[in-house]
Amino acid sequence: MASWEANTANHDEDIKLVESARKGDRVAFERLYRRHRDRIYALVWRLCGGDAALAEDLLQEAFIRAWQKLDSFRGDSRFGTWLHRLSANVALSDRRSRMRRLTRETELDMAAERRATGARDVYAGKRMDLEQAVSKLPERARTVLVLYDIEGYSHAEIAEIAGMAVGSSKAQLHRARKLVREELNR
Amino acid sequence: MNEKELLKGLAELPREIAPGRDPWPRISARIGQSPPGAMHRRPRRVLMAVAASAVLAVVAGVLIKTAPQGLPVTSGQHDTVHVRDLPSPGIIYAVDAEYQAAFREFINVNDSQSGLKPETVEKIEKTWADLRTTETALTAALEENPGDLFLNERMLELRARQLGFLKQLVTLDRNNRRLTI
Repeated sequence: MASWEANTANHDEDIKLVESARKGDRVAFERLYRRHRDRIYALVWRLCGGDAALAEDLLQEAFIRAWQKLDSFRGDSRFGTWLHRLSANVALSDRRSRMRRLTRETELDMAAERRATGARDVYAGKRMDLEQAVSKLPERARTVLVLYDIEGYSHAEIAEIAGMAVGSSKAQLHRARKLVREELNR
Repeated sequence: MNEKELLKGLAELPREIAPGRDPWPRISARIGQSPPGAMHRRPRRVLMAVAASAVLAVVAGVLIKTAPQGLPVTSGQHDTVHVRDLPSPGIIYAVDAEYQAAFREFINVNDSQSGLKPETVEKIEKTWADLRTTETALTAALEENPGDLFLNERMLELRARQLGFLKQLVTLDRNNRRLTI
């Protein structure tokens, strides 16, 4: 019950801050940013394969996009849910654009797919083995595993966000879990 | 590690991670340049711009390409071409008439305060931007070689694609209103 009350209070606070931010109150928007920053950073950091520099760029882009689209938040869902979804879209759109550039230049084999994730971040040595195994996954497999197993999205939601069929999402999840297990058992 | 252990491990990963550097100063600088909701309010202006530029392009195309048969059309310093080398004016008239009909419907899209999703509007903008890029390239090429049959045919094809795009927008808007009423 205490957790439910805390969630409701957080939701109400978010709604008040969104209302103020819509009127141009940047202090209110900064408070929203502070409240949700770490949650969004964890999402985009995992989606981009643990590249800290890229994740910070994506975090920045996600909040700028949120500011630009504040009018489209109607309160049907929690602000955190809306922001999370928007941030996933930003991260995946960015990846898609990099993948498109790669496709033009070279064959889209596994090696190219992995190169598209960019350099691994400086925290790699400190990260848990599981995080490392996830970060090594091919892009699409990692996207599905992060969104389904870690963030709790449904296959239908993943299919919509990532631009793939529901069946592909399921297949990629199976593949991702298998690859992670193999990596950890090595 | 079996699958059960893997799922347990994934469920225990932290949901929050603090970034190494705080990007707020950069975010603050960027959002200071535009009011909140700027992107969401953009569709109306974008749709108007799409309509206006498409009309200008088609009208300009028709004016240039429907000069009387056999009269030379000069362009640049040395190029002289004959209209008979270009696609048939009848085809151009047909495309233009169809386009104008679509455009009359399209004005209603603008007036409808369409409740299209931001993602949909982004796709619309992207598609139109692609068409405009092609149009710019073709226009530049046609200025260099106004009598080039291949380029003129490509321009006609592009006009047809623009027409089809506008028709799709109208259909999308109709369906959207039907669902939201």
